[in-house]
Amino acid sequence: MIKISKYLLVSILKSRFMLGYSLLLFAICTGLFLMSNDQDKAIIGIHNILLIMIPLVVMIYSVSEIYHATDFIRLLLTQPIKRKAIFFSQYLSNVLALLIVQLTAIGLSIALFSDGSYLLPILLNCTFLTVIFSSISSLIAYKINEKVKGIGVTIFLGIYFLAIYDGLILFLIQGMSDYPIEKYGILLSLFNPIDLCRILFIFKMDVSALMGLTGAIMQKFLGSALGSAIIYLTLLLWAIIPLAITTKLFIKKDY
Amino acid sequence: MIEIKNLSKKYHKHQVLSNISLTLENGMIAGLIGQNGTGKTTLIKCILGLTQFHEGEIKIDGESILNGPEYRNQIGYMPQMGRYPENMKISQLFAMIKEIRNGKNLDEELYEKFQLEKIKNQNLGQLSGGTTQKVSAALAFLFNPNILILDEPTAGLDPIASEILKEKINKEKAGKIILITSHILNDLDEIASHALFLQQGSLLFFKTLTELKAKSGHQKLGKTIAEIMLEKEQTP
Repeated sequence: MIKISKYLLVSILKSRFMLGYSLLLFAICTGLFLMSNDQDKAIIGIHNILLIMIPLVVMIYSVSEIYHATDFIRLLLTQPIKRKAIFFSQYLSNVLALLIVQLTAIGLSIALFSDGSYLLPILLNCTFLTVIFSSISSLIAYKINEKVKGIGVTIFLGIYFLAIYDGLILFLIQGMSDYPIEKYGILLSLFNPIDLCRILFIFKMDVSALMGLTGAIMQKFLGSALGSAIIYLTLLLWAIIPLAITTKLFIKKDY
Repeated sequence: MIEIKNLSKKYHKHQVLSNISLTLENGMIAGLIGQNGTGKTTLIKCILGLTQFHEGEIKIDGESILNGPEYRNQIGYMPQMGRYPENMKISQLFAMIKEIRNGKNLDEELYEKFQLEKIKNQNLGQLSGGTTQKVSAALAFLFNPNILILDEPTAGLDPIASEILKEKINKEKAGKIILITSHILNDLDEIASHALFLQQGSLLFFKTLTELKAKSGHQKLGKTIAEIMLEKEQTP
């Protein structure tokens, strides 16, 4: 597995896309630092942009990369190696390449232009988002054989997680505003990894007071060891479950 | 030896292979012939383990191929259209596959004759279709496998490279099984010992070329096959 991953990783890192992506990330982060004179404001801006950009870029890139590699995967499958090993070397090389590029570009910018107090939470969220959305992409790309359809589903899912889901929740809260449903708000956010990352970060920034009653309840929930354990566990499940389903699918897939 | 017994394969509801049984002995060069969409590639993919089959069995040297991936140590496969990671160099591709197979007793004849050493630092994404085919061919023969499965091997190659490859196939045939699909019947005429004809997923015949030619009275494989195909169309 590692034998294949290391060669694939080098080949992915040399691509022009990865160079452009890292420069873009660095430019966005640095630009926001230079534009605002308050470090915290810039950090919040960077985090908001990353929450949108990383899921979309990771998904679209990973899905099209898997479709592109179909013929090469087929050639690897004719070698005396287990299918599981081939699947994980593809997944691993992809995730590692994205992580290396993103964490270096973002980390460098934050380290250079701030005091570094929010470096770890941001990089942690980037890692979660990358791993989770790579897993979801694998599921889409190996499940759907047609490339155009697969990319369509990917874009839809991206928009769903970024906008539609939040819209639905807002709609629900609006409609049920006469009832005490704040607790269920936390439950609902477990079903969207982007929301989970956002919540994790907001409470690191201590701006939860701005969020009213829901914020207060969430602060209480997250402040407890159980609360944060549940959030981290849910994020892990978001990565593991699609990956487990895809592994099963890949082992039985016709190439 | 490759034994195929009652092999059937369906894609959704479409029957691609139905009840194929045949035995390929060492020393055979079998040309796999048939119109487009008759299941040639599916048959190859079943042997390679790329495609699952639900009925029948395939054994290589007496052992079912479902027992694990190790049997593929004996197989060299050259795909019809190889596509490799764009930013990987030829040298890196060879190094990777060598690491995977842990092969000793390497056969680098094609690698040398196709002069891949000269371009080993080029990225695979920059190569022309023909050069990519040369890379695929060199990889298929590299580990001196007992079974060679070549899918349209000469299709994208220039005449010189095509001759080199055919010469290599002829040289390697002793004691090995070589399975070739090709629409270029002249090529098969030169190298194959047996013809394996598939029609709509069934095995129509599996005979030696001399037998076929004697029966039809033609000297060329192309004419012989064309005659058989026409005959079959007229008698449904």
